[in-house]
Order: sequence, then C-alpha cells, then structure tokens
Amino acid sequence: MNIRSMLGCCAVLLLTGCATTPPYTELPAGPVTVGSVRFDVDAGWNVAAPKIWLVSNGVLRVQEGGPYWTRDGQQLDQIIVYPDIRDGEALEKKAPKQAAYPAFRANMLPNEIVALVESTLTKVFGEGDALVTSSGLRPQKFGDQKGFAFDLALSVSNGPDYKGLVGGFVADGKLQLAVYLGAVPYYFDLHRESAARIIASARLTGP
Amino acid sequence: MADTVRAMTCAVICCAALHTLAAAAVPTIPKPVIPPGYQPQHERDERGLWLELDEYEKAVIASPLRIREAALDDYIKNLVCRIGKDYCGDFRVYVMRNPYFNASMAANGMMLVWTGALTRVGSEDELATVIGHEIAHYEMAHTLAQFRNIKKGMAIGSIFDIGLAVIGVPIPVGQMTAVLNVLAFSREEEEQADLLGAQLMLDAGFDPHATYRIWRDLIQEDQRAETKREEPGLFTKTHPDSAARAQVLEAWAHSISRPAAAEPADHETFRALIAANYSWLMEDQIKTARYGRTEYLLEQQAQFGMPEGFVHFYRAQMLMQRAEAGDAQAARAEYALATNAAAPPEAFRNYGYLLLKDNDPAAARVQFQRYLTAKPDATDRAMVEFYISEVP
Repeated sequence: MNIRSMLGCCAVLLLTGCATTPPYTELPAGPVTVGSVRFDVDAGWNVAAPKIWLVSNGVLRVQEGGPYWTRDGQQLDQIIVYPDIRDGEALEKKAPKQAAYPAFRANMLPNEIVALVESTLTKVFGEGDALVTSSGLRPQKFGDQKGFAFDLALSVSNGPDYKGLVGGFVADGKLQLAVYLGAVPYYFDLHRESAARIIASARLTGP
Repeated sequence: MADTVRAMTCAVICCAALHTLAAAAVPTIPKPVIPPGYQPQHERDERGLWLELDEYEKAVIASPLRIREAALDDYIKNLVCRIGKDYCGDFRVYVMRNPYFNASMAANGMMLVWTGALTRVGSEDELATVIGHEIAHYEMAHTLAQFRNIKKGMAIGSIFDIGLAVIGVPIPVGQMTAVLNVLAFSREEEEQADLLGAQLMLDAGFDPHATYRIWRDLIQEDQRAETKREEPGLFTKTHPDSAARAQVLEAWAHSISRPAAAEPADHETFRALIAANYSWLMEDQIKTARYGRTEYLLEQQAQFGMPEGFVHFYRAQMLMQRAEAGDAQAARAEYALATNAAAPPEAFRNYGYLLLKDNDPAAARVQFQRYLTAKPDATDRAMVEFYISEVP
C-alpha cells in the first residue's frame, strides 16, 4: 500500500469515527470517578466523547483520551482529567512517539510537574502555535494527600487567549492531575469557581 | 618502463577527469526573475494569491507568538535589507516564537523567521545564509510558481475526487495527492534558492563557507535526535537532503574567491542579542522535550559564547526532564556550576529541589533561601516556603 492509499484509508476511518460519536453528553451533578480519583461535579458540565475533532488554529486536530468536561464547548472552557499516570508515561497516553511528549516520573517534585504540564499543553495546542506559561505554584491538600496547584496562561497563534488552573498529587507512584482552561476575558472567570471546586474535590478512592 | 608510462598516463587522465568532474560539480547560480518593487501582474490568480497572503499577514501581525522585542526585530530587518539590497523595500519581516529551525518567504514579501533558527545559527554569516535563501525564493517568485502548480494539481485531483464521491468516498484524496506532488516539485526550488541565496549573502560581504557549515550542524543535530520529528519519507521528500545541500554549497564556496567585505559580519551584536533573549529561547527549546537536540544545541551555544551559568542551568533542566540513569547526578553537577555563575534565580530553586531528592535538606534550604532572596516576588514563594518548613 503506497502513501496515497494509506492517506485515503486514514481519512475514511477518521471521518467515519467522527460521524458515529455524539460529541457531548450531560454529566450528572455529584460524584464522578475517573481512574482512582473521585470528583464532586457541579451541575451544568458536559462530558466530551473520548475521541473528538477540534479546529485549533485553523487546523483540524483529533483529541483523544480525557475525559474532557465542558460547559460551553471545548474551544471556550474545559476540564481535562489525567488520571493514574504511571512512571514513564506521558500525560497524553495515545500521543505518537514522534511528538516526543515528556514522561512523568514517580519521583518528580511539583516544579518538575509544572514543566511536564507546560510542555504537554504546548504540544497539545500545537508546537509553534501555542505559548504556555505557569505561575503561582503552591501547596494544596486533596483530602489526606499533599498536592499542589498552579495557574496557567496559554496563548495560541490564531485564537483566544486562555487562562488555567491545575491541581494534582502523586499517590502510590501515580500522578493524578486535573487542568481547567477557559478563554479570556469571559469564559475563564465565568466557570472558574465551579472548576476550582471540582479540581479541589479530587480524592483518592479506596482500594 | 612501459608499466611506468602506462601508470603515468593513467594518472594524467585520471587527474584530468577528476578536474573535469570537479569543474562540472560547481553549480550555476540562478538569476532573479522579478525586479525590485515587483507588484502582482494582471493575472487574476496572482492578485488573488497576494490578497490571501495579505490577509494571512494580518493574522501574523496580530499573533501573540510574533516577537515584539524591538532590538531583535530591528536587527533581523537590517540584516534582511543588507542582503536584499534593492529588494529591501519589498519585505516585511516577522520573527515568530517557534523553537524549531525554519524561515519562510511569501510571494507578497512577507518573511517569517522562527526563533529556532536563531538558536541554531552560530554566527551572523550563518543567519545571513538562512535569510539569503528566503530572499532568493522571493526573487525567483517561487511561491507563485508553487501556487500555480497546486492549482493545476488540484484541478486534476478534483476529477479523481468526483470519481471517489460517486463510489461513496466523499473525501479529497485527489487533492491530497496533488499537494504531495507539488511538495516534491519544491525540492528543485529549494536547491535554486540555496545557490542564489548563497550568492546574495556573499555579495553582502558574508563568509560563503557558512552556507554549508549550517547544514553540517543541522545534520549533526539530527544525528543526536532521540526521536525523529519527521520520519524519512513524506516531509523529507519536500526538501533536498541536508548532506546534498551542504555538498553543493561547499563546492560552490570553494569555487569562488571571496571579495573583500565592505562591511564585515557583526558577530558581537548578534551574540549579544541572542544572549539577551537566551532565557525564553531556551525555555521554548526545553519544552520541546527533544533531549538529544537540546543537548547538542547547548554544546554549540557554549562554544558560541552564551552565558556560562545559563548554559549549565538549561543543561540541568534537560537532564532532569530526560531522567535517564545518571542524569540526576549530572544535573546536580550542572546546577552547582550554574549557581556559582550568573544564572537565572530558578537555578537556585531547582538545585534545592534536587538536593531535597538527594536527602540533603540542609543544602536544599540554603538554595531555597538564595532563590527567595534573588527573586523576592517569586509567584511560587508559598511552595518553596512549604518545603523550607517541611525539611528537618
């Protein structure tokens, strides 16, 4: 099979997958467990399909993994949950090797996790198309777990600016992480309290 | 005796043949096809292309990734004018924040230079090579030629697409194929731009030997890459092989005598500009998580004279991110060197974190204190103070 045939087959498969998956379903308010972590989710959030298409910077991208929760659509606001990231794994587990996503290490301290998130989100939004910076790294407890939180700023070459909140902790050698991103000036502030409450509610579920 | 004569005859013939081959290998420099001050002609497709590019340029101007650092911007623009000479007024130059190696030129005179090109060139001569190459694309009207090829290819491709739609495959495979064919065509244009660009930078007084040195450096960087960004095949078919480019340019550089430069390269200004912007340039490179490439660049930059403490700091950052066996130990040594030289305040903090991991809390506390002293308004003060209070 030559490269032209392969491109054709890939396009058919991807478009078929896109057409058969409903983009969003309403997330019932209350506890939602993702991997080993339980969140208390406010009313009004929707969960995106595990594989969705996004137009970012004029380029059609597939976003796979998640889950992704949103209120007004992922271009405007979203909470991305990265559950149970093991030593040696990237946050975007299904990313191609050539994309060179950095890996989580179980002995990482919060400053290294900040760098991990910055690099990962730069790649998610497109290297050379996105600029991710962080600030305000601070300690935060998630139940009994000692964790961290920090703020994000994201600029993309052809789209709105975003601000973000990140919270997470490392337990049993696995990283539990949640990221909220909202377009500025309006959407980030609109859902900030709710998103911060959801992220802060993260608790490790028992064995 | 006969054997000796035969051997000498053979040697003479071989030498003559080699000389002929060498002469044949010296490439011919192509000529510009549009004059300075060129405006789109009456053909509708060309005017349409310019309008589209003008719209794109508005997005570039507004982009948050466009560098607005006046000194850097002015420096690049002056360099473009020095090389472009009479064409200077045709160009608008934008430096874009992108850590990979690239530059581009559009038919309407919009030139984009990625910051990754600035971190990779080791001299003003090498930067002049990159800029000369892009100016050559403009002077030879390559974008228009490429655009017309795409249009032609698309027309043929569309017929194929209609056929696919009839059999229930409504996707533009034909157009994709046309794009691939056009990309293959651009290799020839790249080779032409290499040669005319080399002549332009030579005429502006730059060292012609820089034209192939830059490709040799890129080859070495590629060899150090742990993960290849582009697998051989699709993209690499669109550009001539770096080794082949270097070979052609080296043959050309050795075939000409360099005129006395009216204005020698200003390496000091270039070096000072890169040094002044080094932190964010390297932060962007670190975020690529391409460790082999970053390691090679840092070696080059140390030779190039970038601030020693910063080079040690970013090497430590790369090692911590790579986290292979022995990297933490090597990072500790790099942080120690960085913190004993002029380095970003974050070197103290990250050294402190590493010392914590190494169960050296007393030494960690010292570094944390140095960080907070050096950066009293640090936004992560709460986290650092948390660790200071946590350690025994």
